Amino acid sequence: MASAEMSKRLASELERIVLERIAGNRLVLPAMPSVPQRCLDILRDPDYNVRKLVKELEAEPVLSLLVVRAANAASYGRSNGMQALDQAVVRIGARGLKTLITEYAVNELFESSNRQLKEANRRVWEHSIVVALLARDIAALIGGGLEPDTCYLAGLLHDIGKPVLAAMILEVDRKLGRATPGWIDLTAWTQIIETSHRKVGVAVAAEWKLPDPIAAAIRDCSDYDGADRTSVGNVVRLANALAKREGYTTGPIDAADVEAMVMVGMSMLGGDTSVVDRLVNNIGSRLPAGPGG
Amino acid sequence: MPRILTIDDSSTIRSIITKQMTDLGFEVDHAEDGQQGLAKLEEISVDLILLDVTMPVMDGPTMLTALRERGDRTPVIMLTSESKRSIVAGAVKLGIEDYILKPFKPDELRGKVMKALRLDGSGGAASAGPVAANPTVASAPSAPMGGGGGGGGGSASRQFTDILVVDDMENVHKKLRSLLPAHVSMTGSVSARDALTHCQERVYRVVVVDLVIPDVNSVALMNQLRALQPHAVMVALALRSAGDASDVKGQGFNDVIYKPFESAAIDDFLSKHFEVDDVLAIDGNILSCAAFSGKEDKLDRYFTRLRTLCHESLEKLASACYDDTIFDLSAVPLRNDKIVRLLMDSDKEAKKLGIALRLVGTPEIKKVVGAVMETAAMPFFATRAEAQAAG
Repeated sequence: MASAEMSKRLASELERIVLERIAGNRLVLPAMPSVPQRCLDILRDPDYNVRKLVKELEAEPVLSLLVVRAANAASYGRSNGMQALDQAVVRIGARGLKTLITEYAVNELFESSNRQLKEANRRVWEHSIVVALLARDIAALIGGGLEPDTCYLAGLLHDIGKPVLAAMILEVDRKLGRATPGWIDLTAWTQIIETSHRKVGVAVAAEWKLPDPIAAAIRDCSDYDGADRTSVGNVVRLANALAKREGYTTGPIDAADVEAMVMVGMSMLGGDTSVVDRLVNNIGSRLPAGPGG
Repeated sequence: MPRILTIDDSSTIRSIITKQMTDLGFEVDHAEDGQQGLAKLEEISVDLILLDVTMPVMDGPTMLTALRERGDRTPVIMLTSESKRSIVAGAVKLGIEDYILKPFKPDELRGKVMKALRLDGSGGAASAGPVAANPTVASAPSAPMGGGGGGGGGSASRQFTDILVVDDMENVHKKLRSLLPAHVSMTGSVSARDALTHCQERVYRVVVVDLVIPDVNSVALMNQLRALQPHAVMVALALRSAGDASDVKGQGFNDVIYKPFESAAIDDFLSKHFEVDDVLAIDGNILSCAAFSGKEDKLDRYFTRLRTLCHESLEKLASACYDDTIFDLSAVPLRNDKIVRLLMDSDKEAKKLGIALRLVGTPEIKKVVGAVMETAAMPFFATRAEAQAAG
C-alpha cells in the first residue's frame, strides 16, 4: 500500500490530469451505446417514424423487452399480456421512450466487475434514482412550463460523472497496480471524484448530446439560480437536498448544509412541506431494482 | 397577542411586513440593522424575529450569533434575498425556524409565520425552539406546490368534493356521472396538469385515475396526487381486458374500476367508499337504522350493509363495556323476511358478546317481530324512552 503522502500526491496528480484533459477536450468518455443513440436521434423528430424506431429497437432485445414491459405495466395502462413492440412504442409515447431509453443507456455506466466500485456505484445509482423521482414529482406539482420527464432525466444524470470518473481511476489503478498495488486510498479516491465529477458529467452530457437543461443541471448543482427560480437545475438541487436529508446519500453530508438547501429550495420553488414530505416519505417503496434491473 | 420583531434595512420591506402582520392581529416592532435589533431585544421580548441578512452596521448572521450566544432562543425566520448555501447553512447551525426568499408572496410569509408561532393548527409537539432538522415550511393556497394555506395540507380552507375523475375522454366523465347518485359530487379532469391543479384547490374523498392517458405515467401521477390528497382513496380506471387487479394495487392504488362501467360495479364502489356509516348510527348504547331512500333493487344491499354494521357496532359496544343495547328499527322499510333475518343475526351476535338487545319500532314492525318464533321473545318498545326505562 502506498504511503499516505504518496497517495495524496498521486491523487492530486491524477486530478490535475483529468481536469487538463477535460479542458483540452481530450478526455476519453464512454459513448452512448449505439442502439439507444440511434433511437434517440429518431425521437428528436416530433413526427418520428414508428417503424424505423421499432426496427432499431429490435436490434437490442433487452431494450425491446424493457419497452414492452413498460407498456404492459400499470404505469401506462396494463393490457392483456404481451404487446407487439410497435403497439408498445405508441402506448408509451415519445417523451416516455426518451426517458426509458436514456435510463437504459445510463444504467450501463453503473455496471462494474470490481466489487468495491460496484457497491459505490450502487449507492450513486440509488441516490440518482431518488433525485430523479423527486425532481419529476416536484416539477409536476409546480407546473409552469417545467417538463417532468426532463427533470427526471436531469435528476438521474446529475451525478453521472461519478461512476464515469470512478471507472477511469480504477483503470489507472489497474494499470499501475502490478507495480504499486493500492496506490490510492479510498479517501483520496472520494476526494478526486467529489472535486471533478461535475466537469466529467458535463462532458458526458455533451458527448451524449443531452438537452441543455440537463447539462446545466449537471454543471450547476451547487447553489440555486436566483435569476430563474423555477428552472430544471433548481428542481434538481432541491430534489438532491431532499434525497440526502432522507438518507439517500453517496457519502457523509453536512446536515446544516442540506437543511439550508432544502429551506432555500422550498422557498424558491414555492413548497408546501406537508406535500413534499409525503412525496419523500414513500420514496423507498417506489425505487426500482438496482442498475441493470 | 403575538409580538414580532422585523429587522431589515429596507423601510419598504419593514412596511410591507408590518402591514401584513398587523392584519393578522400581531404586534410588530422593527429595527434597521442587527445592532438596533439586539438593543430592542434588551427592552422587549418577542415571539418571533424576521431577520434580513445583508444590513449595514451589523448584518443578520452576526446579529443571530450574538443573540444565541447570550442564550436567547427566540424563533427566527430569515427573510432575505440571499440564497447562498453557505450563509443559510451558517444560520441553520445557529438555529432558525425557517427561511423566506425575497421577493416573497404574502401567503408564504403568512403561512410560515403562522407555522413558526404554532398558530396554523398543525398542533403536535412544537419544537422547543429553532431546530435545524425538519424545516417547517408552510406555503399558501396561491403557491404552485401548495396544498392550501397553512400546514398539514390546509384542508380547512378548501372545498370538499367527493370524486375526482382523471381521464382524457370526457365521455368517461359523463358516463360515470350518470351512474352516481345526485348527492355524490364529482369533478372531471382531462389531463394530469388539470388534475394536479384541482387537487391543490379542493379536497377529494376519492381520486379515480385512468391508466391509459396519452403521455402520462399514471402511477407517477397517482403518487403526486396522493401527496396533495393524503386522505383520498386512489382508484385506478382500467380496461376490463387488463386482467386481475393485483398488479395495479401492487403499484399503490387502493382499488380498481373497469371500463366500460357496470352498474353493479359502481354500486360496489359507492358502498365501499360512500356508505360506510350511512345506514346505522351509534349514540351511546343506542343503534338507530337510517331510512332507505334508494331504488327497490338496492334493498338487499341496504339490509346486507345493516347486518354487517350491526355486528361491528355490537363489538364496539361490548368493548366499551355496554351489556345492553337499544336497537331502533323505526326507520327500517317493512320487509318482513329481511327484518326477521336482521334481528336473528343481531340477536345471535349480541348473545355471543353478552349484550341484551331491546328493540324499538313501529306497531307494524312489532307485528312482524312477534309473528316469528325466533324473534317473538325479543323485548319490544314503542319509543326509546320506554326502552331506556325498562333497562
